[in-house]
Amino acid sequence: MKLGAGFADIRVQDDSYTSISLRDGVVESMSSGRDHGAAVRVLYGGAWGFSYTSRLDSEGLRSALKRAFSAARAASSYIRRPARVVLLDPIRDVVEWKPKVNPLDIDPSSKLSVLKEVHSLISSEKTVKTVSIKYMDGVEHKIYASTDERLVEESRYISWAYFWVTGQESGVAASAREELGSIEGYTIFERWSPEEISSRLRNRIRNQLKAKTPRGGAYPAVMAPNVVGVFVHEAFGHLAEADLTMAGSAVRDKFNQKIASEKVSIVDDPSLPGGFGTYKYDDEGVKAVPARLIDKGYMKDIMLDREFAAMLGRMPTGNARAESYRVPPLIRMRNTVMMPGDMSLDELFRDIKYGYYLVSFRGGQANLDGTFQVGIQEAYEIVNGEVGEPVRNMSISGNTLETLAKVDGVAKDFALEYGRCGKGQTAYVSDGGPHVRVREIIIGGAGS
Amino acid sequence: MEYASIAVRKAVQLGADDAEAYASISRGVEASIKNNNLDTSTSFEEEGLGIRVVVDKRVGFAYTSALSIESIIDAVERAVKIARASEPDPQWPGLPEPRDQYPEVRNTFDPSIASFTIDKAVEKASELLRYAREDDRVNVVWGGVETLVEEKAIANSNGVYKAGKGTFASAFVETVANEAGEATPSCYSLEERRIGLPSIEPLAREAAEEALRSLGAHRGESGVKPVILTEKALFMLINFSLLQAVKGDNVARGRSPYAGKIGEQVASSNLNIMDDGTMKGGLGTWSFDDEGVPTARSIIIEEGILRGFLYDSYWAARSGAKPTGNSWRRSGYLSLPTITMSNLIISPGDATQDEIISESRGGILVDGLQGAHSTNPETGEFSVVATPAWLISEEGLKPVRGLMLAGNVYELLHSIDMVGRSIRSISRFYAPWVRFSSMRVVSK
Repeated sequence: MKLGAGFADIRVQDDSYTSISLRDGVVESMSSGRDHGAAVRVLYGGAWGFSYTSRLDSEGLRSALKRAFSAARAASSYIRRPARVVLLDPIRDVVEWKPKVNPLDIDPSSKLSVLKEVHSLISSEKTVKTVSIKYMDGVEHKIYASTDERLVEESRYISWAYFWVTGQESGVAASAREELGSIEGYTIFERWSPEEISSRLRNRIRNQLKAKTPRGGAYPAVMAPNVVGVFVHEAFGHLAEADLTMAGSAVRDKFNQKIASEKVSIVDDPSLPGGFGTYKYDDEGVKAVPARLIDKGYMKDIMLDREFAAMLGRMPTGNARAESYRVPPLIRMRNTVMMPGDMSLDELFRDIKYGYYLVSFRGGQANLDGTFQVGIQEAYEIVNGEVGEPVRNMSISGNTLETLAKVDGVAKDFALEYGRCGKGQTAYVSDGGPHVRVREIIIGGAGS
Repeated sequence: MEYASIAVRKAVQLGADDAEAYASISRGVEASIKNNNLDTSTSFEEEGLGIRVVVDKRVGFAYTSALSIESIIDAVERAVKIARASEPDPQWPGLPEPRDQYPEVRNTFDPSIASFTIDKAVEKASELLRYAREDDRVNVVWGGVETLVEEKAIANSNGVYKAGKGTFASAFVETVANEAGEATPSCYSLEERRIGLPSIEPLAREAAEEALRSLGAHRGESGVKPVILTEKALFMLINFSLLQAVKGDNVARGRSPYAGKIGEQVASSNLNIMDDGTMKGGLGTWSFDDEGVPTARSIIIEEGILRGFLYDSYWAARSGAKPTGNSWRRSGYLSLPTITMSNLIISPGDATQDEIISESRGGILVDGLQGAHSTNPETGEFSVVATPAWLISEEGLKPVRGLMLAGNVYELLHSIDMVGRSIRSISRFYAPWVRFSSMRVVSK
């Protein structure tokens, strides 16, 4: 500020990780990382300068500040659209998300033996061909300080596991994935036992191998929370990240307009208990608040950082997140969910003569113009209101807003999923919701 | 950089049978462009050390992002602890032994890149933006100018110690042209160098012209046609297939269709591919790899015949082959080394680009592929969108969109019938234009 900067902040991060990778039961690598450093941003003359250093002594920090300032000053003479930020009231706070079990207290060999147990349970299924398991846990500790006198400190204890299984039987190939996470420390295998994880994956493989391929075309469908989650995150959520909205996404000019069925409310909520994207302050020191993206069919909020909030004359929602101190924060989702409705599961299925029950996804892609395609790894036919035979190699596609307009039933149940979102940087997120019925959705074979 | 040796000594003291440390210090500046405006400008310095230890054939790895005695000792202790918690790898062959001879490499360090400032980077980025937008139909989606200077050292308990430094400079610009409600697919130009700075003006003009040449696109027609891939499109096509198939670990694990096929014809006879970690000024050029093994020139495909694979020390030992100096760390000190190309070079042929185009009437010229990551590396089956792409007609090049290319990479390598004479690089891949005599093209 002494040098004339409009705004500056510093983020010190000190993370410790343990990671284990198993391929077909063999240890591929076991590693332990200690990653600490500081990120400095300076806004000068409407231009952003950024610097980071892994040297946390006063010389390292001073030099990072100087570099960030010089970078901003150098850019300021060329800037065409000066950036501004929303300034906030001073605050001091320390937040620790207390772990149930601190992962640093558990010997890595006992983590390895649980993973090996999951592996052997999965591979007991004789059609299983390959099993890849990745596991990571650790503590993230951040301190944030800014020129608007916000000083906050927050730590989270994370664990995460990813399973990828392929199977084969008489020329038919199958694959299944599962991703689990926790911010309560080393609790994944307490919450989901090795038996439960392996039986989910084995069932998916088994079902695919005996499944029929789907009829292509438009059909009514019931999406389970896992598929609702990927839909609200991938197909809809990215459109409502302010940087992408303003770059011309399909919801750019839709504020306060009806963009979905009145049964649909979608919120990106940083406060959901146990959510993988739950935190109190974002990486710009902003207190994270829910963004009500769709309220009873109407578009209300988009997800904002300090800069886009200033541009749009709104308050930041606390969606600015950085993968590490090596990068400046970007607008990212947290826990993006569809709100439960009032129907029972039975009511949801009852009226469907022929349709599909979409239980779990395999991956998807969505475009800014609001088109999406999601691969489904576990799906069943619905015949006369009853869940019928499994279907494999299925995908759903279409236009996101048209699909949201066709939601005609929302159940009262609710489940949360755990995953990572990639947008150049990786962020831990949750998504989910209730079971949801769509009047029609385009069903295709995988890759079609 | 003596920290690497300190870490190795400490590990041995703590009971490691083998230990290897990789230390690096890097500095860089980057001026970036987003949506026609200068975006965040970055200037950074980073240091750290990764340590691999082996205790009773159990391998552990740890890293720290601080080069201080205290942090390094902590990292070594963590590495030993995690190794003890792991399982033995009965096939662990040991770390590389010291060698007498290392290649001399040239044009890998430029003091003027090392002292490049953020002010200059911002000035160059702003120039890049200005030249790219001379025609107001052109929008710059993304771009930037970046320099990096890196010092690294590798030490192991067999007595290997190698240290070196290198510089890198790059400029990148991604453009879209908009006219009458039409937006072209994104087009980009990239130049990366070890010495000297990228030429901003030609690079910017090239990306702008390519976007303008993509305006007025029509749907193409399905059929089997000659297809020309530029170096960018060719890289996308083979990065997820051929370049995986020649890695020694995939070969040994039965994940490569090339296992057991040394000496066989795997491509048409005008295809020559080698990996050369010693190439003058190459983006992947160092005198030693990230395990301290000398880099080398390795022939992979010679006149269409498969000659060899790429190895790190581990898979070379397991396969009874020699390491080829292809062990690189994707994320520097944060990561263990894996088999990676150094400078992958497809030898030039004798055709000019004009000759290739004029002999491909009715065919398609393709400068990028979308969805190539879904290629099956074991079978070579692929289905991708060609973008940007042009139909080669009597009247010249006409932009086409929505064209899918599909087939099998390994089969298609036999149908290369023209190879260009000029080479360009993308990342660590150096290649000319290549023409496939016939490929299946589907209009969506």
